[in-house]
Amino acid sequence: MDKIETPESYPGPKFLARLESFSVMLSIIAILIMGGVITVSVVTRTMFGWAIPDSTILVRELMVAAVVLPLAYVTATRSHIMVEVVTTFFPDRVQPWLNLFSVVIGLCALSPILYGGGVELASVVEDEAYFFGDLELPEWPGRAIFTVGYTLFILRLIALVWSDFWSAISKPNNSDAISNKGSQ
Amino acid sequence: MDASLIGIIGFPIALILIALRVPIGFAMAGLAIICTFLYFGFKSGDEFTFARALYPTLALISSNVFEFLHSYPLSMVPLFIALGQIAYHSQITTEIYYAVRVWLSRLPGGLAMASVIGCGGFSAISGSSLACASAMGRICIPEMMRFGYGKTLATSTIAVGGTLGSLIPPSVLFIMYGLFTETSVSKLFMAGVIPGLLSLLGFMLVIYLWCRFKPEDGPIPEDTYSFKDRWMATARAWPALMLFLIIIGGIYSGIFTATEAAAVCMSFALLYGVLTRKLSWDKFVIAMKDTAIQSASIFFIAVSAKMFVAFVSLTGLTKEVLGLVDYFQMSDWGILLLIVLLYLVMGMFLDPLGIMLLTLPFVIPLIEGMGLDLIWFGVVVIKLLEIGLITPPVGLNVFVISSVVGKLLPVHSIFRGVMNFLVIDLLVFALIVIFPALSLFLPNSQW
Repeated sequence: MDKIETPESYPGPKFLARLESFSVMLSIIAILIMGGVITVSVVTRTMFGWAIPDSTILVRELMVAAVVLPLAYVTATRSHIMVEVVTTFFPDRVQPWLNLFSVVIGLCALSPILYGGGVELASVVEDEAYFFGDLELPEWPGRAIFTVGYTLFILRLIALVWSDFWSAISKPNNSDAISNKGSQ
Repeated sequence: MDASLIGIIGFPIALILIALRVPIGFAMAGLAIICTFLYFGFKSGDEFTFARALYPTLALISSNVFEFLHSYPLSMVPLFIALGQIAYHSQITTEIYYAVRVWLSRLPGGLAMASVIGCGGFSAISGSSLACASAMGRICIPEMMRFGYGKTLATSTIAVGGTLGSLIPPSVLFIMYGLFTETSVSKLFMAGVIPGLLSLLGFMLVIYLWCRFKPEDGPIPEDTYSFKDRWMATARAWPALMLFLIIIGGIYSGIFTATEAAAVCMSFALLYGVLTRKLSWDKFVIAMKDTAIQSASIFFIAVSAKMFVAFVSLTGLTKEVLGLVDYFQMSDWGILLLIVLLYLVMGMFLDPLGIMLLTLPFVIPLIEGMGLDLIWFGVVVIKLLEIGLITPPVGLNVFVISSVVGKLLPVHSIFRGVMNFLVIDLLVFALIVIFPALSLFLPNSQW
């Protein structure tokens, strides 16, 4: 898995970029395990009449890791799905402000989700909650992954707010320099 | 403040934010959270109370987001995306094109027809229109150029062929539609088969007619293939056929659920790629990394849409829309026509997934009110979104092809070529609307 590039050129501290790459790697592992668990369950159910115990719960927990952990990386690479048809007509000097506006909206939208996730995690840990099933799997791993994923997501947005702000207020020919400075 | 007023103000603001390049997920989630917060704050009186608004809003948001993601059936989305990526990097999807190409090589426009069939086959595995257009564009367009095909025909063929990814199962759009309308994804997959094949045949007919009237655009290559060559090429496409059988056959016969089909197919493609050494470590990492990124992007929008749907139902906005329809006393066909126009217009500017998730909370109650089948309507919506992928000014597939060919052909020339296919697309759409059996025959006869 060492081929996942560390996004060195992205704004923000390097440790964040490394954590994001590591999270993508974990997400890949989660997807592969998910596929493996379901396939083995189907094969053993068809051939031997039994399936991996609590496979449904396992897949649900892995699903959280698969889709939440790469969110910060997606944000760093600005790969979120967006519509650019109108803004292409805006002048160049407006573009950095639009970037800043987007990440500020994102930050406002996601902070309550992270807070809510943290509260739920604390409650699940405190109650020592577990899933009903053969293995009585604890509920906290999925909640913890969710909270970690969204924490990284928020940290990346903060890094982007910082760099986009400096890009927006600086002269156009300085924006690259500021962006590089932000990544130091 | 009136609850429905919050909803009425919120929806256009979401559209404005999306137009201002705010990622669709950020716009929908942000609006949903702020409007839900306002709703609870103003709930029992005219004065806004912060403390009263905070906890129910947080509870609603966190439970919606986590519970939505913590889902077994939804795991089919990353698994199908992984399947598409692995199959592409293991050359499973492209072998379909090479197999068909040798069979149709002596037909005028045969390469273009093979490209469309290749797109259909690619779609049947990858489930993504944009991925299909991008991948097949890189393979088929240079090939057609090499044999002297017209640039407009070559590029527009792949742009429209790529749209088949939305209709031919497995389709990510169908999965999301099924999730938000609580309809069976397996039935939706089955419902997309005949309309998808009809579209494919329609595109081939257009190519045939195009090359009849402008033979210089689709010359017959001088390469000849023996009978043995043809069967060898066909035999090389067996993994694609196998995957298609597992997905369609397995779901149709009731052996697999759609989620299980996704996992089994992914494992099969992975095993095939490793055993035949077509999937190197580097390709595997690229495939899986793209899978993780695409899955996260899609689910982020879906999660935001889930919050958006909760906010819409909370504010009673859907009731307002139903009331408005009642007020104007519109006929069922009138409402349907309005919905079709809405999707066609939005399709010109917005991303298909965004359009679908933004509009379903309003449109589905109308369709249910008319007593129409939601599986059939799913096919109608996806076909409209498919058309939106090739209509100007945004037509995402056209822009994907434009980025593939670079300066070879300007975007407007690709759009001009696509217009020829749009006629048949609208005809197929009309058939789907007039004859619901085209969509419903397979799901209704499913085990």
